[in-house]
Amino acid sequence: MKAVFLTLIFAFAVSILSSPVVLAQAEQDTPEAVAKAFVAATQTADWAKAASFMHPDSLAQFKKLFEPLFANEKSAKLVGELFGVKSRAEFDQSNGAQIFEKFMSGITGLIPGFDKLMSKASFDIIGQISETPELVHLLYRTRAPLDDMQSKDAPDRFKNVTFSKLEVMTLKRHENTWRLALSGEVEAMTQMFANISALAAAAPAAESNVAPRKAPSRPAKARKPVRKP
Amino acid sequence: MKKTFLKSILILAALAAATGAGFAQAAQETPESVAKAYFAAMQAVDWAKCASLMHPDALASMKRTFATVISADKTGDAAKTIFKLKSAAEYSQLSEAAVFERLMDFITSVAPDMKTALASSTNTILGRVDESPDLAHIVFRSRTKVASEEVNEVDLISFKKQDSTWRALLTSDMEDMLNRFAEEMTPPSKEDEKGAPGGAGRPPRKP
Repeated sequence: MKAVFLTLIFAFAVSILSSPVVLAQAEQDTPEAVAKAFVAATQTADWAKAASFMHPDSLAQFKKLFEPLFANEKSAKLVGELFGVKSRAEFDQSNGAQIFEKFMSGITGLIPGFDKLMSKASFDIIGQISETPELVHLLYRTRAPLDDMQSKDAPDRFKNVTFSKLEVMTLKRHENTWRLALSGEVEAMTQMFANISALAAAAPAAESNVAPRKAPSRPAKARKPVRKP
Repeated sequence: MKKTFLKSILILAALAAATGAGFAQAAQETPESVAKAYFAAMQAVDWAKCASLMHPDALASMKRTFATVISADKTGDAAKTIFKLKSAAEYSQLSEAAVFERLMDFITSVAPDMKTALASSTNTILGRVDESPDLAHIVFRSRTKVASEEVNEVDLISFKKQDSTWRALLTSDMEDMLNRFAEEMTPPSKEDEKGAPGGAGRPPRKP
């Protein structure tokens, strides 16, 4: 009886371990693997999947980033048109992953040829640096031929032009795996969005009869300064 | 004979001292140590020092970028205002380091906030990644105070071997800023006047 029970337990364990979900997760357990999976998802414009590789804190932060833009109806309308969120209520009901997905779909739809560009981009990890056991920075180089970027009046503008850039991607430990953190640049955009919202709220009332719902949470300030040379 | 011998000894000693100094420099100058010196020069807004720690390739590339701006500017204002020259023709005679210094002086004069931000910034080196024997990348955490807010981000700066030492390449932020600045300074071409589509620039960075 005991032997049968042990065999069953063993069989169950093997079936769990060999299930695609567990295998997929095991493969993604290193920062490099998670980064590669994230990039692969962005290349197929699978933003829901891309969001699944982001750290929950980053997704929450991403949503927070747009909060100032939904602080008043005028800017909410503008932003809503951009990425398909019709109202403040819809924004409030969406989670960070959904906001990310909507925003990225909206942005890619706005740039002709962006999807092709993403699909042709290469992503090479050069190395990694652990800042703490919970925080890793990956150094990678991305290259993308810009030939598919469309310019209506100057079709050859990007012909044979290749974009190449060295970047840092930060991953934070999350449970038994790693998830992407937002870059400082994105964080700095919060202020920019607060400024846009403040400008929209301050626009002449004649343009709209809708009064601002709420004042922006932060005062308008200058953009982040230029970084080191 | 004795005199010749002493002279030879002196020459030898001088050569040894010079080589010794060379070795000492090579031993001291790692990408990390050059990065630290570079960050300190930035904090002090000492552009001449920064230029001395930059790779000649980076300085040459910057000079080329602005040569295009200078030659496209028929009024000659850019040469006078940015580079303090009497005419655009003098630009080619400026050293590459001088181009960098004058350009950065101009930028900090029109954006004084940048000086304050640089002076209050701190850069902590997190580590180094060697891409090849001649190319190393330093990853660092930068904290910059802008008004009452702190911008905290991880960035990188690349160093290329030059003789026995390492010299900095332009950071991507700086390259972006200079290219944007150069674009703004360049008079629009006929093609641009017809209207290029929005968003046809570089792809966005990581989220």
